[in-house]
Amino acid sequence: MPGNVIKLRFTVNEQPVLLQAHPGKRLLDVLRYDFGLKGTREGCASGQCGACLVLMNGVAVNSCLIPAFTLSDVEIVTIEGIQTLKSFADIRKKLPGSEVFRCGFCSSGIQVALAALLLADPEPGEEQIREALSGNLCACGSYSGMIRSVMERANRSRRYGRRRIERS
Amino acid sequence: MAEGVLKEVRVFRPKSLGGTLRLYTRNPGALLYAGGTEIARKAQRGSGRPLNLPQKVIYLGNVQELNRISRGQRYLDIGSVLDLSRILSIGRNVLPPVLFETLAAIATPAVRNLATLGGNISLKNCRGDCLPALSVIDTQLELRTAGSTRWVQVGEFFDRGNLPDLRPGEILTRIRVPLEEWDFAVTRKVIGGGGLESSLSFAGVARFPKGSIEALHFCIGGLKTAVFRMPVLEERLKNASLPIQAKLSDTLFHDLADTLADQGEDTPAGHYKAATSLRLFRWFIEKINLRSLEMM
Amino acid sequence: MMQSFIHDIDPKRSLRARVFRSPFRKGTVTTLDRPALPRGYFCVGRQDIPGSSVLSYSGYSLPVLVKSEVRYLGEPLLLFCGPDPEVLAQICAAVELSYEEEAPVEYKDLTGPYRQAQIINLAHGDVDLAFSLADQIVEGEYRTARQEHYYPDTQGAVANWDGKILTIHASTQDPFGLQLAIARCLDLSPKKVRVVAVPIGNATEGKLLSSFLVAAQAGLLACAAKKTVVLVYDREEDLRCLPKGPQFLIRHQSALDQEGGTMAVRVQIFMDGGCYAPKNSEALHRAVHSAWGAYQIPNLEVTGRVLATDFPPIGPFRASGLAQAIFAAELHSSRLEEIAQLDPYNWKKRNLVEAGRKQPPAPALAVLEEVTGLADFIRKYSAYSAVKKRRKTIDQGSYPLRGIGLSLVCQGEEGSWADLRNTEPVSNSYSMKLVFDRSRRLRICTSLVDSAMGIHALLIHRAAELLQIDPQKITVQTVDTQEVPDTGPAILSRVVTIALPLLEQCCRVLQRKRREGGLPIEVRRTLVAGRSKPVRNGKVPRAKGSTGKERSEPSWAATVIEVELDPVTFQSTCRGVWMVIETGTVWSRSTMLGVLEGEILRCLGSSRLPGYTARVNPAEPACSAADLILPVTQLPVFQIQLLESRSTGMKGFEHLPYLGVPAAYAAAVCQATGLYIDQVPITAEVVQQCLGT
Repeated sequence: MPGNVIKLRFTVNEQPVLLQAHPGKRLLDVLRYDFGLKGTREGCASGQCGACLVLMNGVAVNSCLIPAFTLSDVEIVTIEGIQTLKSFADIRKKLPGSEVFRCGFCSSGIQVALAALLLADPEPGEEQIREALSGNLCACGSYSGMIRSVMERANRSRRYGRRRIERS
Repeated sequence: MAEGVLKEVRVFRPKSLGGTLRLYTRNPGALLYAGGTEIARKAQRGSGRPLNLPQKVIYLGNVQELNRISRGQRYLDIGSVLDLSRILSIGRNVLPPVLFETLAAIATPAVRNLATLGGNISLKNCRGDCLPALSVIDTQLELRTAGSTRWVQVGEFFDRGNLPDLRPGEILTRIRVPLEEWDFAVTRKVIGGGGLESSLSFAGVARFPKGSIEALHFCIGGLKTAVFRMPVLEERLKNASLPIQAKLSDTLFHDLADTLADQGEDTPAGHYKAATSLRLFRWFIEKINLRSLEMM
Repeated sequence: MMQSFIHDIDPKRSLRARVFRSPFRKGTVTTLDRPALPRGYFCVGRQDIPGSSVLSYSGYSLPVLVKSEVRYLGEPLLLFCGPDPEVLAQICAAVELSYEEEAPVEYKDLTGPYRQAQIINLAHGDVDLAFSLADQIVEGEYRTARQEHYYPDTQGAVANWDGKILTIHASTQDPFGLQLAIARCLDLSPKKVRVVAVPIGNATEGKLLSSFLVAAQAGLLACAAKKTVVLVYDREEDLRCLPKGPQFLIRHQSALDQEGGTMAVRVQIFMDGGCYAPKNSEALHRAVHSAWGAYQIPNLEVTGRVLATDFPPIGPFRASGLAQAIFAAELHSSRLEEIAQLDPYNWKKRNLVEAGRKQPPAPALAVLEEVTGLADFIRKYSAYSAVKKRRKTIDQGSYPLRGIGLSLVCQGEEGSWADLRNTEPVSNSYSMKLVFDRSRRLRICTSLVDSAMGIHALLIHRAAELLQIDPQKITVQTVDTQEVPDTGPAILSRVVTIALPLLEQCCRVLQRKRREGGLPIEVRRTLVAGRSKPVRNGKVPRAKGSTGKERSEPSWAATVIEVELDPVTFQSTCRGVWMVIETGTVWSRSTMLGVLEGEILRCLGSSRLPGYTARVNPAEPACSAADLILPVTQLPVFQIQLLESRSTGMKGFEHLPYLGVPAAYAAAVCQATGLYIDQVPITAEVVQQCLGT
């Protein structure tokens, strides 16, 4: 393959890894093709849709915008890590269930965004949830269900549903 | 989407500012890479393919001096490579409100975790974002080479082509934000019909301690001029008693409208920007009047 | 467990594919020389296509590759595949291409002298006489933009040719349709084409013709290379180079009597057929037959035209034709309401009444009454109208500009499935199979792909209900054309009218066999779908030749949208959306409400966001995700009510937001601004332009 290769050490889902890749290889492609972690998805390739979100050093970032050369010594957690690691057990309980997603394409990114929020604030209110999800675009428009699910699971006592979303 | 055949890319990862400046002097064509959100967006080459980067890249993410924020009595010094989320975490009680609100409205939370203030100031696409807020509070930018340092006002940072007016080997290192109090501060961001490329933003601050205007600054970003200010107009409002009389404000609107006519392209987006800029200014004046009445 | 989409299929030792595209918009290729290829790299050109090089679906057509005549920017010229995408990029850069470019023909709007590919005329009554007797004539011209699908998973296909069978993993809504199309293109028997359909995102019918194109390209390369080929389009490639829903310009002329009653209507519909204009467009057919919505007009004349333009190609889109016609009809009716000095509610009630009757159709009246009550429509409409009258200008006030709009629409059935695939002989029989195995688990075997419309959930729910089985014990088999029967394309309204009756028949037989004892039980049933006629004035005519369940009545929906515009920026926010739907049997309230909310949000996006224009200039950036999809921060208050009527069975409903939302939104913005804005999307710039004129 044309181009040069650099070596980088970092962690993915709490496992140390050594990567040899072109410096410009996107973290998204590193995760999907070098490590087989297909949960992180490519939606828009411009940092707008959030389908490619991962946690980097505890905060959500768009992996489609991160070149390999910036990865030295970082800690990456993907949706697979959030779903399986013990350290995310409490957070998992508060994430929306699969029933709120329609096609499921955006679900990984949404859950990463919410995990990042829950790391910073274990009991977020509706406004914080909306803000955290403001960088995730759901083509199926399932936002209401996501917000409702997180609010219920985080055991908030605030009455958000009646004011915002009504069902018959 | 960027095209092109994959190149060999050499990445430098300096850890000190001195090292960075020397490196940049020796490699003047190198790309300075901090958060890289805009660079990476434009450098996409398709699924599974590395970004289209130039042959030399200087990664600034590890440079300690550019990643700091320090607070003095009169200024806040923000490293140019500090990401927006970390700047915001300082809090709205420390950051000037007009700057806090502006930064909080940029892009999305995930992008703010990567994007830097230096990048937002320097790149052409980001014209509508933080520049007006920085300009109205008289922010200064530190530009350094290996052998020199200078400070410029935000409005002086751009050449006639609206590109950063940097000397050879010069890097934006710090953003000095004055911590002055203003009686009134507002900022608004408008995403136009053409998406990010047609966004507009407005910032305005005013001080009126004794019922007359001591100082008033307003700035519009996203027009032909990167940082649109009208000092002549601001000067005419100085010492005006509050509320601002309709006769004075009508004259100001008229003069501003004449100037704004040259600031937009002759397209629907351009007309929208020019007309909205005028309305934003009118709204600003109305808000000041209201605020002054509340303070009486 | 996470869904696997087409991008997640990454077989080992597969080849990557790349499409070499035209860099110019219109013209003739004079030289197209392929470079020498390294070992392991392959190329396919137009002359290498063994069968038909043009794909067809539902009247639309699209070449797989072209040789000399180029009609749109990015039209595929050559296909390459090989192990390394970077080498493919170098190969594409080395292609020698020369061409003679032509200036595309463009007029100010669709009424320009474009060649007409199709004309449909419809008339009843004596329109000329009515116009000659009219007290007033009201005219309006309404425009809708191209519609972008923006499915979250871009188009892709993985193809493998083992010498006997071509296996294609496809991201498609119609696996059997794709099988037929590929077979024709590659000159193979359909039995030699195996399609495995993967789950897809919310495709809005964008994974029909376009999916055939991508699969054909992958299939051609797989046959040339005799290896597995992966072809996945990037987002920008997908946005720029694939067919979109067409734009429309619709002219209305209404003849009114002294009381403002509508005596006659003339409608002219101009549909942009793009550079491969269809000659038999279902979208135009639907538009013509729904030109005056659900209202009763004694004298009506409609002319619809598909125009051959130099815009990019068009293809299927959810509710295409119908949505645009209803938009124009509803917005035009809002003008007539003003002239008749009636609020929208009363105007609609009056105009729904057929000659000789006293009341509008009961479902229509029910949804109208319900939604106006829920949204407090009449009070708000009066209040905002009063404010509008007093207001002198909209761009110098400090207070938000508010408006509220109402629309009333119905969704009937959308024609025979046979028309979609343009097959010969016409094959319009559809089947489903159920297998009840020894462990008492039920497997549903169908070609209906799982998508955001809850199709699999619907089938599982209905089967569980009929057979009294735990839904957890029911699965839908992986859609593989070698394993499952053809139940038709995964379009929700067709699922309701064809697949559900099939499922019900299968369940009845299975239940009987269960009582007889002995496992496993396998049941297969087939339905022949007759040729249908379109819905007119809210009535669905009975189809002939159908051996299945009778066609269902239309679904009705009334929508109210309240908006607020910032007087400084003219940016709008949606304060509330109320929708009441009469849709027969409610099979799963939560799923239906979820689908409706999502579709309403999508339609709000297409009514407001700037991404919906044809980008034909290579210098213009492709529109982005944020230009097409509304974020969570713009989520309005939703109130959706389902009026159930079990006697009519299940009905399709997924088109209703596309029919009702744009018109209600536009009417609300018009009231808020006091401007006659006759197009969607309505952006702040559009408001500014209308203010200027």
